[in-house]
Amino acid sequence: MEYEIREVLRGENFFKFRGKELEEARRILKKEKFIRGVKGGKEVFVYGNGSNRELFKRLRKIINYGREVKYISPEPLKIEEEKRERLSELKSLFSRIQEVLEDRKEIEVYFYEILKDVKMKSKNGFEGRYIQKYYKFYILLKGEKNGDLIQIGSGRNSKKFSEFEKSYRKFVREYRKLPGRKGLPYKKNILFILSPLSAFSLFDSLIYRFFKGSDVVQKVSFLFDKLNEKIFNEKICILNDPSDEKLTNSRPFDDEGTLTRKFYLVKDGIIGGFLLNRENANILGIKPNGCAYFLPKMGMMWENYHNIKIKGGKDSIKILEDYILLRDSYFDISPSGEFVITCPLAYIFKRGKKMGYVKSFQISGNVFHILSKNLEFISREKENFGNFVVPFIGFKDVKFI
Amino acid sequence: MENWKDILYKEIKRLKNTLYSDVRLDEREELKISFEKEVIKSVVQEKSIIGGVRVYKSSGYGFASFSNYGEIRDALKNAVYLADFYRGEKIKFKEMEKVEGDFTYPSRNPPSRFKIQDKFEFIKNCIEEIFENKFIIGISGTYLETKFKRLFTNTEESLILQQREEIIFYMQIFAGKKDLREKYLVYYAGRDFKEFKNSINVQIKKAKDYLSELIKSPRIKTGIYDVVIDPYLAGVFAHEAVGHLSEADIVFKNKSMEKIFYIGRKIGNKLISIVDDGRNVKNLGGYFYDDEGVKPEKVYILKEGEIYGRLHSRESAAIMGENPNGHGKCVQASFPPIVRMSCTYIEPGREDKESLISSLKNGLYIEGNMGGWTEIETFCFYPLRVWKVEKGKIKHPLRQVILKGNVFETLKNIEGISKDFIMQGIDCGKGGQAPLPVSYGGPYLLIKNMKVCGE
Repeated sequence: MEYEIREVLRGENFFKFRGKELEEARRILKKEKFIRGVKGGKEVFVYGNGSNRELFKRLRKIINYGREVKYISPEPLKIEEEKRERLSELKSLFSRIQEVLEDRKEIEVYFYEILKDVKMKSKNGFEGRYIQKYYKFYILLKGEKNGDLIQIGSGRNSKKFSEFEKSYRKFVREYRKLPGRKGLPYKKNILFILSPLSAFSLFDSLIYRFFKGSDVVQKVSFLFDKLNEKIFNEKICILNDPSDEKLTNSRPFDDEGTLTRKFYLVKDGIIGGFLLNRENANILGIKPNGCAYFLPKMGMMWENYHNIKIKGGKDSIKILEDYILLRDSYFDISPSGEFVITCPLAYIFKRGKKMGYVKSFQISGNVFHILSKNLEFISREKENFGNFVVPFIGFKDVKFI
Repeated sequence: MENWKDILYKEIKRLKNTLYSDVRLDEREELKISFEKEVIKSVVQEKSIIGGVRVYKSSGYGFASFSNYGEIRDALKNAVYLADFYRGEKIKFKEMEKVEGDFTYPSRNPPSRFKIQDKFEFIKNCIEEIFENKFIIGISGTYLETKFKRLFTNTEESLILQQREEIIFYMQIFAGKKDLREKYLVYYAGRDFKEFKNSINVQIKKAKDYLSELIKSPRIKTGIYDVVIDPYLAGVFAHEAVGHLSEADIVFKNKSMEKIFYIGRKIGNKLISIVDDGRNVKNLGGYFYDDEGVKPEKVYILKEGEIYGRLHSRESAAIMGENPNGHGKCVQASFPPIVRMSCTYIEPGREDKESLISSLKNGLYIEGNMGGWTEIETFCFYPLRVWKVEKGKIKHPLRQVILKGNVFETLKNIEGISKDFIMQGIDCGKGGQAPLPVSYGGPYLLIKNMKVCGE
């Protein structure tokens, strides 16, 4: 029987502050192990935190229920071990956060430290290990004026917090001065600009909905036969980069032990690739690109991206005059590409100046239209959201609901 | 588990000098059968032990998890260490009765009594049957069977063991024709294997018939429509749009919510009352004791259109100076309990389904739900099936729509409630804790002026 053993030690330290008060502190440590076994072309998984012996015993018991699989085996690899940091090292960061939040009762800060220690070995000689460690901050601004979730950012180290703090202060200062509006000054040709945070939501939904190998193979994705075809505006480039150390989801190999690599999902508007595990790559007759993710909840090998970089444009956002900036929005995209954006907060810009804000409205359209013929603008400026680097995106001709 | 009882009982005594502490331990066995395309994709067996310690010393808790006996002491130390970070005033917990006992949830046909082969064969047959429809282009889904024991002890010396088995099954079905794609969901959450099989067989038959019609159906224009929704969607509305707002942790942690969702505020018309009642353990969302050792109580969230009560954990009750009512739940012992619903429903009215539909001149009849979300006052649901209604008669299906709106406006627009009533098991997610088994339900509702996003 061939097998792969994957062990994950996941540690999560989580702190939540309301104003300067600590409201929740927890440390979750989880050990997970899964074994994928293949015998006579049949594949099954066992999963849990028992001993290898116990897991193999269960594996043998269910192996006959497996289904037939065929895929390329991973190449051998060795990664050096890193030292794991102790919880007490968070103390200095902790007191800095409390200093920053002094007398600011209207905000909440969520702080995560995430540590993943992944070990993998297989019978055919593959052996690998990697350690991921990163921080995430969310700032929730509260008060009489609004209750909107404002994500300031996330990063791999605590230095980032100073940057978050600055942008937070700037945001609060500006926001408090602005007059509110009841209605949206909607005209058919008005330019809508997605802030990097909103654009992140758009591209995240787009990639999840249309670029997963399993959906491509099943033809559920509209893009199933569009590889190498021009679907988007030539300004659109979407790069999956698992090797950038500055981003939070970098990893040398995926959950099947396939080496990860950089590749374009979309290059100059042309579909360049999909997120593929070994099985779906085999069905499509192309090489796997290291995008396999084991989902314990669903018990299956899924596909997902690592770090996404959206190529910026040449111009600065500052050159724009009249537009509506969607500060924070959620995209719901249907399998055919129709979307509804729910926007809790948008700014109205006139002659390049912020004139007011509008709350809670929705617009609808088609995602392939706004990223092709209706695309008007991509900014030079980009923001980093941990594993997503994205610019401002501008489009016209959508329907206001 | 008997050994663990002694171990945890001994360990919790070390925390006697804290304000309040508790420990939960889960022993879980899971079987997951996942499928995709036209085949079963994976079979996974999982067996795990995981526990969590929660320690209060002043204004908040420190929480640490463990996954074997050797780690308990470390987890205790970590939880105490984290609890020391707090600087605020001590929370005044209401003292609760000491509870001891073993409780098993009822099921005539618990899934563990059936062979893996039976489950495997049933799923294979379902897949074959669904692909008999020529418009079906893909499916994906999971059969998840969980058998678990949860042990709870606290510094008040309660010791509770609860055992139960559950099945959660879902199958996403994609139908297509040229570049057109439509999605459909077959779903079950419950404790009975035979009931699961019957329910899925009926739903698959419905799915095949409906999708054949749907793929040829028109899209509706985005706009405002009068609608009649079925008990499943009414249940989703009760749970997602109103129930979550009544969870006390959302209210006390958000000052603006105190001004929106306060007891006595009239937010709906007199016809509507919404209840959360977890006392009936035959319902999937029902339980003997919550994960803080408190018995669930019947809570009127909304009574005759007025906000009447809210759901509490021990912590939220202590902070707000109210009584705990048995709603502190965690999805796994590796998470701290948070305020959750149990069985949430809209109370039935006096009318019948047919009279509600016949009152629609140009409206929609909507059944089921495929998902959605709520953000304070705003909700967004994806219904399962939608039909056009003209002059009181159901005409033809319509392609997928999205329902959007404001919770409070919608509650005021409910103008008819049927006497029919259905409860359904479902799973819920909150604060990263999913899937938590709950139930929801209600009658048929006539709602005026619903925002429907279509073409």
